Amino acid sequence: MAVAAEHSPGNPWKDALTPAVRGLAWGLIGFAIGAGLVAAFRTLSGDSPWSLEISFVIGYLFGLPGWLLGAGVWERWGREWVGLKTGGPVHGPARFFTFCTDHKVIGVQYLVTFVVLFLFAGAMAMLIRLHLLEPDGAVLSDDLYNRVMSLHGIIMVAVAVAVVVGGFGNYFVPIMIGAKDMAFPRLNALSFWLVPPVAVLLLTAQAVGGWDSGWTAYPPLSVKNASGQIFFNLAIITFGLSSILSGLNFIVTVIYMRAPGMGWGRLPIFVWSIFAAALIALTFTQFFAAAMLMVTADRVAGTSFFGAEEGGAPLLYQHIFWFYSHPAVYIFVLPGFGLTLEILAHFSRKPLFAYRWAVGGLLGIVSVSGIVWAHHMFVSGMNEHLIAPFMVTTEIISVPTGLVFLSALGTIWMGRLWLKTPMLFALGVVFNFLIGGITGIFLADAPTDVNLSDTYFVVAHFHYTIIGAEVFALFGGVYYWFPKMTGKMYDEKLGQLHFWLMFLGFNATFIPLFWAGLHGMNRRIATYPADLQDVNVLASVMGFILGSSFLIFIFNVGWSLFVKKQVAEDDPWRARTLEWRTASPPPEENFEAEPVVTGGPYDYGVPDAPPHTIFAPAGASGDS
Amino acid sequence: MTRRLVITAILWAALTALGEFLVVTYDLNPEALSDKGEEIDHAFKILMTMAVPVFMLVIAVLVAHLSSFSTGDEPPEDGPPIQGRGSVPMAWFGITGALTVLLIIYPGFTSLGKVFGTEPGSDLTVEVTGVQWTWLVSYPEWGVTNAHELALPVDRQVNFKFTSLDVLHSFWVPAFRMKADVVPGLTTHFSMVLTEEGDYESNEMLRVQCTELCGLSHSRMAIPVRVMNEEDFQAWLAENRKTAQPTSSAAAVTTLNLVASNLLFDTDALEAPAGDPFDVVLDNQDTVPHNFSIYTDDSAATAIFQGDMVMGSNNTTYRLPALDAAEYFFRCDVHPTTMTGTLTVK
Repeated sequence: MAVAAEHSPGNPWKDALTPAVRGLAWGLIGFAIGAGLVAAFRTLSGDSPWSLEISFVIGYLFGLPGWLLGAGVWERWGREWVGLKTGGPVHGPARFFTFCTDHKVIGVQYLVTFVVLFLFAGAMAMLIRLHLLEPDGAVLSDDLYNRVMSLHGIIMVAVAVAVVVGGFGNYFVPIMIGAKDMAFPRLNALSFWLVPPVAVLLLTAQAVGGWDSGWTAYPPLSVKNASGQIFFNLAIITFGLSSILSGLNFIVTVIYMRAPGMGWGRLPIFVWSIFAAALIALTFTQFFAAAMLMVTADRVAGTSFFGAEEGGAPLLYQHIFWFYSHPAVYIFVLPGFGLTLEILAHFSRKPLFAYRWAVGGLLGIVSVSGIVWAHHMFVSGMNEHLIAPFMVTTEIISVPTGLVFLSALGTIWMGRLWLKTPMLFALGVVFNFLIGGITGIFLADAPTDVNLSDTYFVVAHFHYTIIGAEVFALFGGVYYWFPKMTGKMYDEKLGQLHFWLMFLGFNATFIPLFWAGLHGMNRRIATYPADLQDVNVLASVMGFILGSSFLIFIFNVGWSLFVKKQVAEDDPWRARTLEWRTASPPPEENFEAEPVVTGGPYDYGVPDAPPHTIFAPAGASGDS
Repeated sequence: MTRRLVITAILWAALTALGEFLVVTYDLNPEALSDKGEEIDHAFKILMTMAVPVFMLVIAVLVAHLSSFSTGDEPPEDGPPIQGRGSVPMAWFGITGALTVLLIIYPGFTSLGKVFGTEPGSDLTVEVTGVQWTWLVSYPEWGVTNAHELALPVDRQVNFKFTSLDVLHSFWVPAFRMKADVVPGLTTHFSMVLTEEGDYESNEMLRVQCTELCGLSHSRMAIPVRVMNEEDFQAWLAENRKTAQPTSSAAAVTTLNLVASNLLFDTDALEAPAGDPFDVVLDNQDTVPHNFSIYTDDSAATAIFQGDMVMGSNNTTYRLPALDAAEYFFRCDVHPTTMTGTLTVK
């Protein structure tokens, strides 16, 4: 890579703010060009120059590249296209606010952005539980409830897609395979800088009425509702692009960037899980974007993909939507599995049990994930002949998932369990996903699903899989890697307090909601029958306890980083994998010397096991 | 190793016995009031009995190992290097595979035919129309149209047909367990036999609830269900059978005009003379149905007059009875929160 001019040490505030401000300005200019073109064409054809949805869609089409170019694509990439020198890297804390190609910076950008979004959407959840304290709704209007619920849903789905893959995946996959960076560092930065417009769209949508169609946006409702729906559609298409690019990047990175000796059989299970999730993201994401394009076209271009009165098919949308959105739940949960198994092995001081079977389980889930989508549609009115095959494929998925459990239980078996905070969260995942997985069988079984679909049983089930497995694993990962990423140690007592409050609060919130579903409570409702008030009050109060556990987390992070500042060792967990063989935090190119992988990542207690890695003297070994 | 195995096995056996005891003695589901509902609850129970040993196995392993751990320093030694390459994963794979095949067949396929099966000849057809945000119930064989409650006879095969006038809805009566999405441009259907009498007043699970998000008042899109014996049902049909609207008599009466457009009435205040019948002309300019109903007050607890639904882009004349001087509450029953007003009779 050409050496860029060294950045002169400027004002760090200016360095930090410039990309966002310039991105916004260029984005607005682009938007004005797009909307101006629409105005010109419309005026020529005798219409009013501004039509909210059309002008916004075309404006955004020009505004998005404006944002990207302004936020750093031009400065650090585009100048090359016309033979100019690109800007040099920014150092210091300001680099977290720039178009930076260091995978560790991008990992932190993803992690912090999505944890903040998680807390925001969590606050929405608290509002929802507050509202549901009373059968007729306690605090919101019906319209506001629907919008808050929709916003909570889509932000949490976005968090679930990106927080572990984008955050820990970016930060740790290259380190764990002994690479200096991702295969396509600039593409990686681009993936991240596509995210802020998504958040901005979802929030500004509220200014034009928001949208009330949930995160699933089923037409015809999503073709007829308030204009906020258009913002949602554009957000999904943008986020999908980000997701596809990052999926591609992970796949190429894992295939081509592994250090010498890092055979497929020596890959840490977390890397395998990210690889598996990336396969799904690359294969299926475009279907959600396509569905959103079709809804957008129905709204602004007068097509009729989904309008029955003009020959369209409302059910078509559900097939396309779930063709992505069911595999997507494995983008959520597979990295959660990988992270959990990773932590279980290190903190049980044992080899990962049945490693190859666990990998087979992850890949097995990937391979079946694309042929189960219609279990979301058992009562949709689709052809009844489709019900039986989709029931079969869906239930078959419990076999590869069972292999993940086998690996988890076998690893714990006779282990020397070291119950630090990360391990508590990993054990929490085993318990929570057990409930999430078993209740999934009731939904895969078509006869019971007829009753359960679209009830709080479903709500409880998917919160068990997403919070119970992925979010618990996320926080396990946060505590596990906190010393590595920050160079500081978190406070163990506060970490354990966070776990117990979150674990008990979570289970006490969602177990009652299974019961509510069985007793006639359907989902996405601002009001409910009076008989169901007791169970809702219970779930709300426990939900507030769950919510409060995150305040402890925030305090712990702030306290450990800025007040206590206890310096972390390079390897506080005595773990074998590569990220613990370098400094905390790791230097810019990850390792002082070239790593050469010589053994398995989990050979704890194995007599005469070679070390996982040795380091060649700097510069001695070429690229593999 | 052997000791741990024994502890785990004993724990597993004990916890499974306890779990199965609870599953057998304690019903998680309230009583189902339809034949297919009973089948669904049966399948649910079978799945519970199969889930208990699986759940308890994991719990037993976790509990058996949480007895020996360290929280402070690193454990002094590593655990035994069990790699799991032998027959254990093979056996696990075989057992979980077999269990999956079992539950696909039973209760999967065995219940599938009974819940989704082809419909036997039925002697009563009920057509349910979903519209933002209410349900309209018609009995085409009996001349009853657009009723605002779902009245059903017990012990008869009832064939339901569903259509939507606007967006997706989903028909669900929790007490019956059965559900079908209601899709514009499509007629969905199922049939079932109701096994017990009952009504919404005594059981809130006897309601038609929309379960597919359909916009603003989705949560309020519910109407009461009443299951009754044949005699009562026939009486209900007779009472609700449409008789020809009385044509306007020659005598000149006061006529009030009311326009429904964009889901709103054009006024929230009407005036009528006391002691004389009068006409209300409802001009529905929307594509969705509206009606005109009068209640004693805005709690809408006591109806004085409930007009028939006027389907989209149509108008109708309601002949209203003579009323005493007072203030009344009027509304469209389809849009009870947004289309309301006060009728002053003096």
